[in-house]
Amino acid sequence: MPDTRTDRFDALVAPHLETLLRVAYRLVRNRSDAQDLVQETCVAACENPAAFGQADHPVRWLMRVLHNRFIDGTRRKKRSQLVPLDDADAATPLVCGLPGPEESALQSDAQRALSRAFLQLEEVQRTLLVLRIEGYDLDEIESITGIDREVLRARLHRARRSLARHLEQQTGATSTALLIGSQS
Amino acid sequence: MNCREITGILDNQKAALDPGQRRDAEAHVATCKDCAEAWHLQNALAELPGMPLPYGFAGRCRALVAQGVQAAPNRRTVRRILVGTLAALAAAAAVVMLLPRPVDSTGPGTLARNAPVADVEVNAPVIDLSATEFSPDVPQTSAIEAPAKPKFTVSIVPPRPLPAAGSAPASGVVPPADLEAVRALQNSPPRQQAVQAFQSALLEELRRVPGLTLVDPDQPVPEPAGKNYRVAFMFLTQLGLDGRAVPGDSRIVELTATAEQLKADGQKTRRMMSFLRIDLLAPCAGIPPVAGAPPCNDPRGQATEVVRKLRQEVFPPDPSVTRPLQARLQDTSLDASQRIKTFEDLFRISKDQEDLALLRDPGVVRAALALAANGDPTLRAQIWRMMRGAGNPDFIQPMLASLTQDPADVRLAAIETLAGDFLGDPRVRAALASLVVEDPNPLVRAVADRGISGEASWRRYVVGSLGDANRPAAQRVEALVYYLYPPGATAASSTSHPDYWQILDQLDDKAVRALAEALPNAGKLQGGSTYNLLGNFSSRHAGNPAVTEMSLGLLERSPNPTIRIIAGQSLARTQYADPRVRDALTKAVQGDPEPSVRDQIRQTIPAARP
Repeated sequence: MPDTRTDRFDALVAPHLETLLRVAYRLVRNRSDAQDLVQETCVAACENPAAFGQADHPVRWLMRVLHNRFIDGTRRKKRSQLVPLDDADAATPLVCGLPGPEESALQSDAQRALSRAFLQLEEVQRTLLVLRIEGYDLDEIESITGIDREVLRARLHRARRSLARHLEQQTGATSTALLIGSQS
Repeated sequence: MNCREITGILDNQKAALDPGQRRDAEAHVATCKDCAEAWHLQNALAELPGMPLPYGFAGRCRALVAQGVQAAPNRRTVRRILVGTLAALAAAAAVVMLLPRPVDSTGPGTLARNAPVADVEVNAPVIDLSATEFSPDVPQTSAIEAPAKPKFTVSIVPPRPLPAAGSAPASGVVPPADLEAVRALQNSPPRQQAVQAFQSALLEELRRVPGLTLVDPDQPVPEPAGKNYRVAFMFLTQLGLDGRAVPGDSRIVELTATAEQLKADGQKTRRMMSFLRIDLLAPCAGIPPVAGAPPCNDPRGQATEVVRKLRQEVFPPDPSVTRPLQARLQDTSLDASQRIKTFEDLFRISKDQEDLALLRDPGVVRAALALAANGDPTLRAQIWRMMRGAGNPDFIQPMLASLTQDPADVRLAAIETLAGDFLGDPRVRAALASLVVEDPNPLVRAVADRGISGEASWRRYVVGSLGDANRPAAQRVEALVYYLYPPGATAASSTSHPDYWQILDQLDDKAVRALAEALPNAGKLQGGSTYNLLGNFSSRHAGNPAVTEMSLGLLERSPNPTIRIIAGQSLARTQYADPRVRDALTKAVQGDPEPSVRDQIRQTIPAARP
């Protein structure tokens, strides 16, 4: 087992950094936030060598750390209602979590709508959908999120339904029409 | 397959579906609305664009890990920091703004003493901006003089103070009952200290930036500068879910920074920074940490991070930003896809700054040529387009070679740049003239002719090909599509023609009829522009009978539900007075096999609207 934090990082985290960033970006749809999230995950993961060493599946363990940091971070934001005490016209802030200009420019209209709708989901719903499209099965998702396997199916279904509803509210088109069109 | 099996795949399938399973799944999805929705949604989510690993990211993570989670004086992370009182900040800002110091533009231009450049791998030396040598670990850039440091001015716009006690707050501000509580929290000495420390550190870091001059936001810029930026910080206060200020979190305030570029003509362009969330956690003296909150941090370290982001994303790039990119571009240990991404970053910076010097750097040129020589044709098309405007003659020969050996879309890219930058070269004129006659692709011939003969002949070709009934439908519309949606060097730089609406509006009756006839049969157009062009064309020429016929035909016969929706909505909005249109819409609303088509059209019909 590597001795120092950086040794642990080099041996156990760095090989999976790209995967972590990909998943983080899927979750938050924003480059800066994704990098923040992965950085926090790296620090948290390397602080706990015992847990890491005992994990049967290092990548899954890293996903669990990422998931927890994601949930914690989102809940911290939710505890606050941000009230601008400055003149709102002086500078229009980018609302946290929305895709930035660069992200928006790289996506089609349908993809932008889908990203916005996705960001309206609860954080756990987002995690479940992202882990699914990353290829994790229900057992693996259970080990990552701690959510019982039997409950997972129902939550996945609700996540997809919520996503569809948000997408329809945004675009006025049914999600199927929008997405079929975008895939043509 | 049945719904349960589809759900099983969506919820639990690990391996990719074999062709038979996929066929069965898609057959069921085509007939089941609920399964279709879930299926397409999940697939579409999987296909959303991702994010490449940023250069130096691993090094940054490693550096953070090395510093650990405990508070450290020199820690620079992107963690949350607290800022303090608005009034204190405004006061501090006012004091500081009255005392600008000139930027020290001489001497070694190293960055903040305690901060290695974030984009450089941890083991690499801090880049001395006055040096041109790099460590052996970093690929050498071209042996040229250090590029001139850009000159620009920055004014920091402080936030407004809290409303005076007893005055009515502006809308959206903390309710009066809480204002005193917030003011009390924000006036606490530790918060004021944190704000002042951050403010001072920020200005000190800004003064280190080469070429930057700090100016008072209320004064005119002292001398013509390359660019002018206003950085406005907006300090927010956290309220709890009940709308009341949260005492325990009183020091947690989020900071948002934006930058405006004031151009010489008085126009402003606003550059939105990536959302900059900075928690200036007070120096911790005397304040117990909030449970679950990030640990104490150093305002100086966060100021360094803010300035680093400003330099990377907002200010004109200086060598500390561009040299790592240039080095990465020339790093042959990286594969082509990583290097082309780096090239795209350089291209984006050049474009944003309207300055092609980066792309003219000999090292960049060499690397681009090497990539073009060894990469696949798609890369060449991109490189040809990105180098347009740089005017480097080293690209002439490779692009001329491209004209004879590459696919049509790469030939088009080469033609655009050759015609745009090198028409004076006899080799280029000869090659283009030869293409006009000999190229097997009609669009390539036409674009080559455009390069030689100009826009008038090109427009004639666009309209002429549109009206040529002897051509296949796709060929009839391709020139117009190419005109309206010129391919960009990168996805982000692709935009429609600046005269898009004028071009569309100026199609005469014959061209409109021709387009209405050809468009439905043209198949998938480039760059996903099918729906865009169909919708815009239908709306701009709604009164033309040919367009009505086209839309009616699409509504009735198109196998694509989205196209039926577009056609139906266009008819409902513009031609509802026509009895034939009303009948067709009624039939669609009642009988279209796709529920989304029925719903969307129904909602657009005038009678149905509230």
